[in-house]
Amino acid sequence: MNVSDRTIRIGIVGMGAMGLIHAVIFSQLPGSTLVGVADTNKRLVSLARGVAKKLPLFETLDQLVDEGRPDAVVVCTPADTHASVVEAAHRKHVLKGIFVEKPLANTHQDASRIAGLAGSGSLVTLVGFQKRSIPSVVQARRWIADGLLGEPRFFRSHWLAGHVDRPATGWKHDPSSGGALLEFGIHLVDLLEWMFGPPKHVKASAARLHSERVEDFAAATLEYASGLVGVIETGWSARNYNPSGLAIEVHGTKASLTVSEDRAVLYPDSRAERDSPAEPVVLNSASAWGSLPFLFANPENVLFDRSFTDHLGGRGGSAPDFEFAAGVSLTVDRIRRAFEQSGGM
Amino acid sequence: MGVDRLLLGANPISGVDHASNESARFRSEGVTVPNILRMFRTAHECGVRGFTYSLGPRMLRLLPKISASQEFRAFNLYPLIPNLNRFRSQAGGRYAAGVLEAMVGSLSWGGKTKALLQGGWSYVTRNPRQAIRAAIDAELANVFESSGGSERVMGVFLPEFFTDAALALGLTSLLEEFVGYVRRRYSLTAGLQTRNFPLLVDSYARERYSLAEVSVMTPFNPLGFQMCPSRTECEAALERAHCQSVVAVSVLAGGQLPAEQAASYIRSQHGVSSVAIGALRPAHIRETFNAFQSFATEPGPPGVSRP
Repeated sequence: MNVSDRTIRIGIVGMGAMGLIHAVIFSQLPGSTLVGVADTNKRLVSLARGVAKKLPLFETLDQLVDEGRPDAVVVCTPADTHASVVEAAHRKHVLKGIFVEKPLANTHQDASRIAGLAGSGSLVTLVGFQKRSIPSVVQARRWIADGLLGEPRFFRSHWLAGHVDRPATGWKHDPSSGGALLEFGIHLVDLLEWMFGPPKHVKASAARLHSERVEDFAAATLEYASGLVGVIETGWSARNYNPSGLAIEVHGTKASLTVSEDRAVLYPDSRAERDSPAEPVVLNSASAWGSLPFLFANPENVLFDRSFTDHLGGRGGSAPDFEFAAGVSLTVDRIRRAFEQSGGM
Repeated sequence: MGVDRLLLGANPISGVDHASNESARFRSEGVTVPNILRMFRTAHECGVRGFTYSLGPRMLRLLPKISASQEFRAFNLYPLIPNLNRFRSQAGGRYAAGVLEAMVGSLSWGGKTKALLQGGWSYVTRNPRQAIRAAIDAELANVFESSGGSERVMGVFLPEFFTDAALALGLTSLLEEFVGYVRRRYSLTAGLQTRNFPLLVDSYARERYSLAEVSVMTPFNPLGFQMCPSRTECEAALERAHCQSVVAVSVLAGGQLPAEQAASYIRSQHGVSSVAIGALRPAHIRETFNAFQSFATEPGPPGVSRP
């Protein structure tokens, strides 16, 4: 039976926060079923076995694939293990899809190697840039793609959060796999590449507030072949950003737009219609989610996971695949190199 | 046992807005002790007698400053426990494993809990039900200590993150363990918060558990905002649920609805026994709760606590 004709079997690799969120969502999404969760942390697996007796739990990816027989796996391990886990999953030759939580890999070198593996067959790939599923973001991107802004000339963007308020340890605070840019800024880089493509030139600076080994803040100026110029700011120690906040504003030859997780607003150029200036067009995300089969974490998590099963089932859905995500990793690498060379930290 | 008809929610204090992160950040700017005391005073004048809140980091910082006040002490309390955010900061970058370890580590605070956990991690993994009980003991000890005693704590709810994860993964028996232990050990109203109400009702029915002594906190509004999988199915579940009480949240659909329209809808849902609404500004509190005055004075279904 073709995968598009039956329930899609999903396995989760990594039982961290995102692993739990994906396990819960895929277990409830119509058209998918959760066939198992694998984690190499034996203590965690032992605890989970004690609590969830019916849930198939495995200590290795091999066991999950061999015994759980998933059609696809979702890789939610620490970022510095993504490349090796994806390579191991790919070697199994039985999977029809691999979904990797962002970032695809810590470096562009690893990301492009993985993308090369995936590109050689019919494997469906996806990287967890869930912010693309927010209705206001979808609308903003559509306005740009439809040419309503005319020629985009400049933009400002930020994603700030107040999560890190003290020195911390763990892989998100390790220079090889962490920092505010990889944790938050990479979502912004993904959205901007989705809207405008890759930049031609990158300049950047970074700063620390609490962290000892990674940046707490990064700022970059991006220049594009089209002449578009824009600024990215990202940080995770902004005390007034609880909850976190994403915002992009773009100014073009015909109109401007602002977009946040809450709303997208299009400001048409009113010079041509002095007698009756055009009103801004507003889309509020809260009123545009539509009906969700199940709600857990944020609505965008549910919609994004559904896009993976839709894709696997041949029901369309455009998504950031490994190749696209490798491009995002390249821009992130360039920003990191630029701020490391600037000596700002 | 039951739940007050009108509850004041703590989302504006905790920095939560289900419809808008911008709004949540903006409202956080007004979270000062004088404003919070004014909030309680105004809500009390509007007939609100219950307060529901999470024991998150911000609330834990505020409670020592307000718990002895006359304004705060005029309210019955309905905390949501446990609060993951507190443990997440202790867990550093280790996330799920770190959260669990931090939670288990915190259990050694109380004497009884310490005794229960003498076996450490292996004890917890072998006895998840005992671990749940120990976690409830530890969290409620925090609630009682931070809120100025146990006498005004009327009910306890399990946050939606835990409820919905348990429902999705087929762990309804753990939910029953939570509500059963809270009822038996503490004689409190025990409740579950969920954004997937029909799934909760159907899971309980499938496992042959009764909801007759379970209170449920879940979204109800005429826009179907956060009512999963749909408003129609949530309304149908309300008719067949027979819960001890149903506390409607998100009744203003994250600020998308005028209070009068929301109140009119809630009055039409006869299974809804209480509403919980978060508001910080006195004018907003008055406008909102005044719209629910006729709901508050109607007899309502069983499960309504009368002052």
